[in-house]
Amino acid sequence: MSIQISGINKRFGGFTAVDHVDLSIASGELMALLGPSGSGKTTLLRIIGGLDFADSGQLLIDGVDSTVSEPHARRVGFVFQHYALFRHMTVFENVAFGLRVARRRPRPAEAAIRDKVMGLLDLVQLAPLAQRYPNQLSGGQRQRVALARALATEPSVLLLDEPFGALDAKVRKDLRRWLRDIHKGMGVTTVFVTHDQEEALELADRVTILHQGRVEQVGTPAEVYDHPASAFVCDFLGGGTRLDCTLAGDHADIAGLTVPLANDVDGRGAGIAFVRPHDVEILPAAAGAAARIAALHPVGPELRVDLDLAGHRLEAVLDRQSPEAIGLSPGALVGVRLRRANAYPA
Amino acid sequence: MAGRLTILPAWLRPERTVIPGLGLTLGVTVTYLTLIVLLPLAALALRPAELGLGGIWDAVTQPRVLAALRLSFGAALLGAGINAVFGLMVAWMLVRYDFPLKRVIDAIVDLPFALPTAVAGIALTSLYAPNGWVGQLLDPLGIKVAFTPLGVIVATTFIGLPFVVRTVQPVLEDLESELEEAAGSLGANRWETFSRVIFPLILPALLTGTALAFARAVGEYGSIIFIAGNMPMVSEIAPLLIVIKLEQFDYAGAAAIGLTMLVASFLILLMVNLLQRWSRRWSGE
Repeated sequence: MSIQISGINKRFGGFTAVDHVDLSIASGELMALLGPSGSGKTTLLRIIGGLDFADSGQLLIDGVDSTVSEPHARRVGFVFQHYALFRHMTVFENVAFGLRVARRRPRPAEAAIRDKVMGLLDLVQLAPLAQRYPNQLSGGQRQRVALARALATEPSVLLLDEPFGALDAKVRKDLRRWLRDIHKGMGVTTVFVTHDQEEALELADRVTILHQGRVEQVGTPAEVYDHPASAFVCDFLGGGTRLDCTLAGDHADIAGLTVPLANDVDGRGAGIAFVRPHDVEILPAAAGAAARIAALHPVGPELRVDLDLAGHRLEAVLDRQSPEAIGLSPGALVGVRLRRANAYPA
Repeated sequence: MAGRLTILPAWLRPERTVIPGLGLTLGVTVTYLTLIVLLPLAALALRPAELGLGGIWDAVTQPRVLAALRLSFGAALLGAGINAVFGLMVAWMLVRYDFPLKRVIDAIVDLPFALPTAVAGIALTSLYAPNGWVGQLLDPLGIKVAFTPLGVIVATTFIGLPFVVRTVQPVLEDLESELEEAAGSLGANRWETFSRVIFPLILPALLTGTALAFARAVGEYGSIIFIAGNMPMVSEIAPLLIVIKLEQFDYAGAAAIGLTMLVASFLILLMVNLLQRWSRRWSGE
């Protein structure tokens, strides 16, 4: 089911959480709401789910005005960051809850509930734990129960609030892939909130980047990464090193180097440039601009290099096995070339 | 330190922790409990023994004693039951809503704790006596509160209220609002959210508070004797009967009633405890 948001505002006291947001989410799409804390992403999600209500603006779910309707009238499934499982119920009863309180008459028969719940528990690979209580489960298992519970009522929209935020890195990665598979299998329109840009870029069909209650950019992961619409987006999506520059049409002057720009910029003069570590090329000392190696950090397969380029700190990343990486040592002089940068008027 | 602990058998020896003093705390706890609780209770059990089992049975099954025990336990149970319902409502109101004078009302809840019981009893009596503020309204309806068993129930309800409110309140405060939001988004209406999600989670605390209110009411003396009227067979409570027996130097008879109350209270509290265990079977403890 599609979601249309137009001109939505929400204030809490003197704080504007959501500021004139327009957004449309297509049926079956997997959309990420990405932003730092306080950007309004969770409030926007809660407004879609009917847990908060907009001060003004309109929300259409599948063409129906849902701005002020109760959550259960929206056929929306909500998954909370801290699971919000009913701890006095078994896993089975948690998942069955939505079926037992269903508004439809007659309510589903016990056998039908059983089949449905066990089917969902199979889907989330928790069928053997059906009779456990939530506090006997790990965090990842709890979040899977929460997801099964939200899917039980066959929602037309699935909303997830930082679904993997409280989990450790490995479990997070597994659950991400697995959410993607479930989304593909069921095709339910899904919106999830995250502050983790990697998660958003990996998982979503499209990403909405929010900042101070406003939409900064909407686009596919490749679009927003390759063509960040603003300095904020570029910085938030791992823009790399932030440097002052002078804009000059299709290129910029950064610390005395002429660097081609990846984005189109209007205007000339002072600007801010972002150089991603992958776009910093390390050359033999005689070539390019001279820089000194400040520090080396081997991180897994990568070697992160902190460089000092004429007083500017610059970050580069190399494959640890690559020939360029092998001879480096802290304090050594190397040459540096910047392949490209994103720049914005200051 | 480690040397001292080796005097304990292996199964009693604690795992090494940063918190010292198993020996000290265990010793103090046992000594304290013995002096304060166990010795008086032992005396209570030994004194009636001089009557012999038959004598105890005779002392306790006198119609006047049975009537008093029935009233004491009946009024305590009813009072606790009333408090379970209304105490929950008071706690709910104090946690969920903001209203003027909320802090004052919050403080008033504790008054039955703090008031000298005799003062409470005299105040209740003057209110509910046939010429009192409340009593004169009830009198034309044929309802007599003071100097009847109903008066005893009023008193046990009065003294038990804070126990329920103060045990339920913190649990209600700690309930995450997300649980209710989750229930709502799954299609539950307010009643279903309360009955299926909130109530089961506060039930253990509610049982604890009700049990405390009951225990307090069974032993209550000061506030009841003024409003009860103390007519033998009608509105005479067991603790008062114990005092009467003591005044007649019938120490063994008094202790026999005391022992009966002790055993009955213990059994009821044990049952509540088991019920409470069952109500938190999900906690995994």
